[in-house]
Amino acid sequence: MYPCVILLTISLNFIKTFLEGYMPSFFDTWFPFIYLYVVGGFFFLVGMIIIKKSGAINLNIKRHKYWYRILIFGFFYFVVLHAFFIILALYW
Amino acid sequence: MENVHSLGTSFDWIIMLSYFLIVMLFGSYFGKYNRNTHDFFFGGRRFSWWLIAFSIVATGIGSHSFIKYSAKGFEYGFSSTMTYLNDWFFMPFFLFGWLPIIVYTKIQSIPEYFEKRFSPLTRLIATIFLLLYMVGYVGIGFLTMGKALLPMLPQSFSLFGIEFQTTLMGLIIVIAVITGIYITFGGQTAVIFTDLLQGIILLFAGFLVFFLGIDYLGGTKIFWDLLPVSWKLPLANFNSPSDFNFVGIFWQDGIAGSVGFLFMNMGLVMRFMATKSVDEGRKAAVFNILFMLPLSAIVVGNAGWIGKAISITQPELVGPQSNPDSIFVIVANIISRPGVFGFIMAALTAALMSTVDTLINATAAVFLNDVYRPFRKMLKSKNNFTIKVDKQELLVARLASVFFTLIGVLAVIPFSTFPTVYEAHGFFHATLTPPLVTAIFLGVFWKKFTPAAVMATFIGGASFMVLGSYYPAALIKPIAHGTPFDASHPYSYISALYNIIVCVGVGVFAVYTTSQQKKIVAKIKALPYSKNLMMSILIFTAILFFIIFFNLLTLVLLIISAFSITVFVTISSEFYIKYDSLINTSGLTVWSIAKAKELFKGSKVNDEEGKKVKVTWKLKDDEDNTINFSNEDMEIMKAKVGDLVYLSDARKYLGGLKSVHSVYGDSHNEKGVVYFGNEALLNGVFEKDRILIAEKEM
Repeated sequence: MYPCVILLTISLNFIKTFLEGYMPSFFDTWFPFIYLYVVGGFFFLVGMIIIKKSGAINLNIKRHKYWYRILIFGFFYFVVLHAFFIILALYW
Repeated sequence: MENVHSLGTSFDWIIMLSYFLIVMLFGSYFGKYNRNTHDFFFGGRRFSWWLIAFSIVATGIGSHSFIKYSAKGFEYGFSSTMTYLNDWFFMPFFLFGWLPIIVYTKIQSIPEYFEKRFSPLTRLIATIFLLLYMVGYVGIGFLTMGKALLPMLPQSFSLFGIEFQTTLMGLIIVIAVITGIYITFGGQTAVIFTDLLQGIILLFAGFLVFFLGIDYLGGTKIFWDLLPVSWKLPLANFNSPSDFNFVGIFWQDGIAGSVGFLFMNMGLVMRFMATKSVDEGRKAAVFNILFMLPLSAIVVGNAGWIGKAISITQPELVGPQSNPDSIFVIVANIISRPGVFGFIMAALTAALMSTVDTLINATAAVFLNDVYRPFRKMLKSKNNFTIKVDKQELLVARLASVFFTLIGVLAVIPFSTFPTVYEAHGFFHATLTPPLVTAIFLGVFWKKFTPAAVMATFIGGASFMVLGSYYPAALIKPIAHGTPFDASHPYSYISALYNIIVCVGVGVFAVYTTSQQKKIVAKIKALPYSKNLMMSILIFTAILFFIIFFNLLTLVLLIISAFSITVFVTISSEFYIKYDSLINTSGLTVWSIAKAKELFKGSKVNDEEGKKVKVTWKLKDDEDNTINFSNEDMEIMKAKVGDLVYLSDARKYLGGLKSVHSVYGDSHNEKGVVYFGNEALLNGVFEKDRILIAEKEM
């Protein structure tokens, strides 16, 4: 119930702000975000594939497994960070 | 734009000058840890990750950062942070590709990698590009510092009855003298420790400005509500305006800049090489990017955000026409009391010193390693020339530091034509980084990348880049993602994408035409006049480059010329450069890291995981350079004779300052005791009766 209320409040705020003419365009908000993580994500993915295929990172070694997880965590950490700040700017 | 003068009080100046003096004395103290050039440049590869991580903060949020991000924060809001939050994409490449390679190959500079991986000629070209890049960076640092301090000075002052005008260049020269003295006598250990101190002070000062600013405005809610929504977004508008747009900055900073920062910023690379092991280097890099950079983004940009909020409530204090590059100083002056302002400005000047001293130190390292040493080697082979190598090299390193400080001052002149430091820095990055970044990147991650391909990337790529700067509307516009054309500084940021495309393009072209190049070269070699023919091709290539550089033909003919240069360069490289694809890639690409590790150790790697041991030390009389532990301690560490060992003072807060790398020698029976010779004692700077910690490296 609580998440539904939050969602409704956010939606109403969104519509209200949009109607008031204060809402920045898609080109200001989510499009740069999508571009950043799709194009940047492509480079990241290629990097992960290369280090794995080349044997530079060996997932049988405990320490390397730890670093592999850190690399993936780091990517999503920045995705969440940017998404959070966009939502904060738009709806808070 | 409005310029201000005479901000601050004499008390602020006393605080600032005292700070400078303390930092110089602090740095000079650590000069004693430089026993040779390796210590001078790399700090003896001995430090813990946390020490390097904090010292990187001061370098990362260097002098230009406070000024340029506050300027963009004032003009465009929180999106000034985006360049600090887009470095993660290349971390897999860095952590498991470049970092182990630079450590295990024991290279002392990036051009040296080019010699090992490709040829001495590519090393020479890489040295030229790298020195240009680093000197440019020093210039940006000086320019920013001048712009930061200028508002604090009067328009003119009199000394001994003579009236002096305060000019930007005059101020920069004074700053350069102070920085030059400090770096010349300190070396890398001094830089690391001074940066550790300054990194902490910088973070503190940046947050101080933020909290004082919020307090000045009346609280967080008022600050937040004052700013328009578009100011609060973390990413800029996708493609406009021309001086600050997301897509241009993504390619200029997120791609070219990130790879440049991690792969070719010698200052940063030397920091990672100063860590005690590859794993410590990884920890320092990850901690820096995940935690320190987001904090740094707030530290360097918040004065601009506060300035924007003040400009809404009190436009008489901060006018909308204020010079963005002065906003940090203006805001700091408004929100703080005398003395506090001096402290904040001291932190800013500390940021300059951190960036510039690191870069000058690194530039001197490149000069010594890639210009002086090969030159001396040539002299020695011709004249049987012998010298006391290391003392003389240390002197050369210091003289080179002074020389590059001077060149850095001269580099300020072209950058000062840009409206803000941010644009000057963006243009600089977009223009100078792509050829080197492409060459390093493809060299490390693509085994097939040949010397012909790297030469094509440097020379052919540069030819197309020059064309792009002459004909931006025809060549860059189609890939500009709709960013507006600014006639005075066309496509300052998105030109990075064009430059990357042409450099990668000619490199890939050269790789995939290798068999054709070999056939052509075989035919040329069969000719009786092959050497004369090749010389003619080289002269013709130089003429074509001259034509492109001075824009002497129509665009179509210039494009054909650039393409011809690429073809001629690849053929010439194939003809002249000796290259063995097996030897020249062994341990030098990501595909052979295990081999690199083996070459580093000199024997088979012992990966068995052991534990650290605490020991007391005794000096041995013989001249054997190995370190001797007891049988029991060797078993705990899972070490064998010939393995590599790292021995350090047990006091963790020293961060490895008193430590040494060595090799396990024969064992003895005194548990908890280590024996080593005088050399290890001098290198480790160990104190009598202090407990040491030993761990097996590999």
